[in-house]
Amino acid sequence: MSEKEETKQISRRQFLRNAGIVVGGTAVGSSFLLSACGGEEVTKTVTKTVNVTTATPKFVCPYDSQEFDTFAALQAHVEANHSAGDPITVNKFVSPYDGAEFDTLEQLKAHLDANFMSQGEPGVVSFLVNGKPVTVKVEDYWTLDFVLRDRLALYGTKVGCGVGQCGACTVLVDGVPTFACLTLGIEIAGKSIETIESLSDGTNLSPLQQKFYDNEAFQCGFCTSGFMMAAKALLAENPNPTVDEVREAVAGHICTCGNLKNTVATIAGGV
Amino acid sequence: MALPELKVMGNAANHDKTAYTIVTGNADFASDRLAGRKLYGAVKTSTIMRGVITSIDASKALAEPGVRAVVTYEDVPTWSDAIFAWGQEVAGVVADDPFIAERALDLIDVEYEERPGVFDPDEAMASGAPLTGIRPDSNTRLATDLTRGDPDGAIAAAPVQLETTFDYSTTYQHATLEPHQSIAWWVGDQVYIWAPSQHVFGMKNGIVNALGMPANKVHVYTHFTGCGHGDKTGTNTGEVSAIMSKKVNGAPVNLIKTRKTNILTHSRQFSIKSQIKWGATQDGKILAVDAKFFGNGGRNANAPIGNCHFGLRTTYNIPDARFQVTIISTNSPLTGYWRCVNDPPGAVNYDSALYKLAAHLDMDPYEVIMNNLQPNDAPDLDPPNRVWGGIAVKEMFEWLHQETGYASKWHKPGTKTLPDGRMHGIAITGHRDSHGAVNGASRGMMVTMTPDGTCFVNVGGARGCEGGPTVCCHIVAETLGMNYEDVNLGEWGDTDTSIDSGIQAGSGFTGGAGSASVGAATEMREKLFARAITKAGLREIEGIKVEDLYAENSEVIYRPDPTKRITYRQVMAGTPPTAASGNGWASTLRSKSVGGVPQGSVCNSNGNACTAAEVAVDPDTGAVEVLGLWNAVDTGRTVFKRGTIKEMSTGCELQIWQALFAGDVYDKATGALIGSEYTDSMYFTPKDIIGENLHVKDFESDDAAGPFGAHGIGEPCVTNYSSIICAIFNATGKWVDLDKGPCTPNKILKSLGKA
Amino acid sequence: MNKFTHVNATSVDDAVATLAQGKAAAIAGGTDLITVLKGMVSPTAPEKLVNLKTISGLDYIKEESGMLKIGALTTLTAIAKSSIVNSKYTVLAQAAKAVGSPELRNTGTIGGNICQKSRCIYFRNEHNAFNCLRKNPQGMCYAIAGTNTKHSIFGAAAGCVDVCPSDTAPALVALGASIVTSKRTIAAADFFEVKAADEGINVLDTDEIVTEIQVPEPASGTKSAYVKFAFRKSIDFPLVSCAAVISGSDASIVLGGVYNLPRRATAAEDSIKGKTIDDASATAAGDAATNGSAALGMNKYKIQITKAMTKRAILACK
Repeated sequence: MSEKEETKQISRRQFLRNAGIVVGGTAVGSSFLLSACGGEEVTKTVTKTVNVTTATPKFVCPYDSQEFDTFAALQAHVEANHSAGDPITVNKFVSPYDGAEFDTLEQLKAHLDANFMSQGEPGVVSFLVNGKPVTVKVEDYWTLDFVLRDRLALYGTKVGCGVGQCGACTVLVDGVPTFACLTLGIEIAGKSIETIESLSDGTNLSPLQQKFYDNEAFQCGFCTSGFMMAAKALLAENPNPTVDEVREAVAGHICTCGNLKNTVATIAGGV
Repeated sequence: MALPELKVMGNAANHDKTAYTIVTGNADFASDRLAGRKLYGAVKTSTIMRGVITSIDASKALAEPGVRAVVTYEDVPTWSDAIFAWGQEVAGVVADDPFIAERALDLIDVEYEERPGVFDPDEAMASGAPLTGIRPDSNTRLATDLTRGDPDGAIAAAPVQLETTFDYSTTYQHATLEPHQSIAWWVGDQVYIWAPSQHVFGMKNGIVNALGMPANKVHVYTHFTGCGHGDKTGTNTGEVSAIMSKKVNGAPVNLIKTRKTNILTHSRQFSIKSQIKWGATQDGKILAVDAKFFGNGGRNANAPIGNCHFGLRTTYNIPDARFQVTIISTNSPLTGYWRCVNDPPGAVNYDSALYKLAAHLDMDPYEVIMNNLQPNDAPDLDPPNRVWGGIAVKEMFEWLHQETGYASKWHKPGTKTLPDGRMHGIAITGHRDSHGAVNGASRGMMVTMTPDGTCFVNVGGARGCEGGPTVCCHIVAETLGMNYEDVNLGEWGDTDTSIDSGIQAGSGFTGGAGSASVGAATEMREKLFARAITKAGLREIEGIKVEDLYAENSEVIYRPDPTKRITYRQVMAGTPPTAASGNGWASTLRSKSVGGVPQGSVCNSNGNACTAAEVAVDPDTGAVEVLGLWNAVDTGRTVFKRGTIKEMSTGCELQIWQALFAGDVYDKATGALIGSEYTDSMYFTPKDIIGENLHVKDFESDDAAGPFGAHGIGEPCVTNYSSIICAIFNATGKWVDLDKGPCTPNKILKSLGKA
Repeated sequence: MNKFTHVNATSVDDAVATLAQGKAAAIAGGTDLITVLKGMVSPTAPEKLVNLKTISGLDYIKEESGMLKIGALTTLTAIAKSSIVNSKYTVLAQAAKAVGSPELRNTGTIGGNICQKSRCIYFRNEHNAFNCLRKNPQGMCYAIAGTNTKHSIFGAAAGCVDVCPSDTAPALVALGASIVTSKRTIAAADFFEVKAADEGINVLDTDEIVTEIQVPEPASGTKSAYVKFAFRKSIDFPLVSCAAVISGSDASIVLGGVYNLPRRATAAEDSIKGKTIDDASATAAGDAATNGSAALGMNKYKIQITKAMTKRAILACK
């Protein structure tokens, strides 16, 4: 990284602070490190301020106000239920990331492609992390855990084995529990990623976190993020799972401290 | 016994001081820092079992885009060009990302001069075997040789004589979920290291020695470790990443070992076999024993296997006995404690031997155990004849007998089939344990007071699985008479700002750091009480002395008239910044006499544990279901109640792992580890554990040596391995040849003659 | 990690054209391919990955003209949950459910499951420490005389004693499924193949991809089941598995985890065909399933387990 680039735009530390992502670590002379690392600046900043939120931004159909999690779902709904030429009299097509408004679906798509959803240059991916849009330059062979931890400083996701056999790196991709270690960063353009950092609003614990706290459903804590993300997805689909249902859902998660009984019992019954 | 009432310790409402941090995903493990500002390391390992490195050509690796540096055994003091096992570190790479680093390892050409090696311990022991080279003149070393009375004569004269053998317990790498890793960087001539170390000061001191540096220029930090089990000690990756960083002018280097490299280059539990000769009466009184243990030390020249016989030696009242432990060196990966050597591997050997004796006598093993137990308070039969600080072995055996319904469930081996066709088995085992100790004065603790009368504890050690720093907070609060919420964790695991609280390992920490916590809090209390008698509310009392005071619920109280009291906040008002420190104490009978031995004498603070297992074995597939598992552990005094219950419960799960799943897989011809992921060193999954049927109970025996009677339980709580193995015997009537691995269906089928 | 460039395919033809250029591999879910690349187990690693997930129209489950049709990019989770598959093609739903773990099934596809690479611990040893005959024309098989606890009990195929790692493979063979590729349609029974110096487990050419699985609708009254035995109840690959499809006078019993290819247990089929399924008939068929078996040094137990699993699969079809 060159110091010149550091001063031209807001620094990554500043960006991350704005986005509410905690950057850990002991204070170290940053200019020394910048020259020592010698790599390129790896993160572009987003020039518009967005509302900090941990909920998945919704796409709203202007014709009937139904909500959808992805642009693709909105598009499919509109094409199936409304005629493209129908006039919009009440609402607009709105980008949930920055509030920009448009008269047609195509205009909205073009705006998203240009700013948030597309792979504009080689190796650059735009996607959502915990509700916030990010754009990152990635090598083709990087896996998602490296992108999250080592480029976005989201350290909550852990790497236990790197080969999909422990569950520690579990994140939600479009709401689906997925091993970050087996997901290529280059393939997540346009997707919505949720990590453990999304569970609380920064001040209060989510009900799931509160239950993990109440039961102390952890020992060392290294497997905890993976279990909680899998639990989040399970409880969204089955709010009151039995112990056996929990075991099935987290069957890909190991805990080398041996705290499975407590963790499984905590997820069972929901929150 | 009536135990003194404690206010903070043992309170089930108290939470781990870091619980909030953990559930929010903010727990900072070693590599959780410096994103985008660090380089990455990877380690290359040997592909021969024995020999020397003759050349290393790293030119192709260095020419690869993104590669910054290469290190070899010449750079790393604890590496060597002498190879003693397949998978020993030989070189490392520093690169822009971990993917490039791992790939570049293949571009380093290492040439070896191969020498004959010996992988198998029995082969290494055999006469005429090639020397492994780990010890200069032999592959074996008699580490323990202890005789009491006349075992040979007593056995020869005994009505019943039986020789039993047990062929090699399982060996398993710790496989901690967080692989070994660290970050290091330099500023000038000072090095800064974050690593998941169970002994931060041990890592620091080791690196000081290895690199020949002044101690005040080496900074080592650990907050959270992702599981240790005894594996995260020594200089470890901290040393290697420091050297890697030095090679790139001090830029931060994050070395994270792959799962495979992690398993190869770090330690695994010793595999132990035994030949135990009994002399007994027909009705189950043991008259004599001659017990020989043989442990595979791998390439660890100082494999600490010598104490694996401990439970047999100290739990039972056997007047004539011999105990020998032979350590075998083999050209196989490093060995080291997985929690302990006495248990699980030692215990499975002597517990199985006891069960074999019982079967030979056509008796219930529980009866044989109870017939021969050393009474509580009885000192060791051997020098140094140590007195026990607190034991509850007999009570725990009796509790298990009751809780499991053993009396109605036990049957002779191989004689009970369940309605679904599976074979039922039940077993109880237990022993005095060699852990729990209060260490010497080499442990320290610091506490500081805040202006509003609350307290920080500054623990010079890491947080492992069980929440050691929280234990210290409990003890400080108890000693100071403060509410638990008024005592908080300050910085911890920081070699710059704390003093050595010891190794975060179940037993040593509670006893050592715990006793140091009492010391620090006591010094603080003395300072605060001296201030208190000068404060309004107490100073008016004519002739008030410090000895007249006590503290409770964060208040300092005048004993002769408890209405006279002030808060710690009032004490601290106007008081200058105040800190205190303390050290641990040697194991002594601090609070009471034991077994006639006067208070103040030397004694041992030791945990004890007893367990029971109930199993169902499928005769068609050899699959084992653990129907119930019981874990009774003597805590002395339970400090952090939630943590203790969890530690005992996780002990159950981990022992199911060891009995039924754990084991590295090797190619014998080359000595190569071929189990490279969890698939082949199998960690149990949530579908392999029957959580509801794990039962635990902490027994308090008021350890005469420990802080408030407490001692550590990290090792004693992992003893169920032998009860599961013995329960399988009770189910099938056949002993399984474990062949240094888990008791998997293939081995059970073999024992049944079906494979 | 082996180094590669990544391209998104826009269509099957586009993917095939890129693969035809050579030194390329298709990536679907990636749950196996990425582990192979991370482990650097292959001396001939691809330099380019062709992403099939950007091809639309390969993710579906439908019934059409008496045939179940599943797009190659359909996830194993979708197949395991599908009510059509569970009700009429039960063995396939159960086999899909048995794969790995939920997260692996969420990402892994049926096309990938029948194209995954060997799990032999010599083959999989990282940095290609054992350059065996499946990877290297001059290579040998290390498992035959080495650690072969999980290997074949029906001898070698092309000198290799590995076992087919796929859970869905025996189910597809038992159902008489066909594999549709970008070039041809092949019966599942003919799709799997092991050759020396070939890391693959099937007959696909390097420029050929699976596009669809077709399963003929079973006769009404057909019962089917998949049973799997492994040391662990999750994550593990099959040590022994059995897919049984039984209806009236017909029986199709295919073993997994016991040979390099899914293995038709014809003696077991003959034993159970037309008989009332009960403990005795299932036991007899189970015993017959291991006709012709031959243990290696460390895996004789698999013969006993094969008997037990075959029996249980048949009983589950009662």
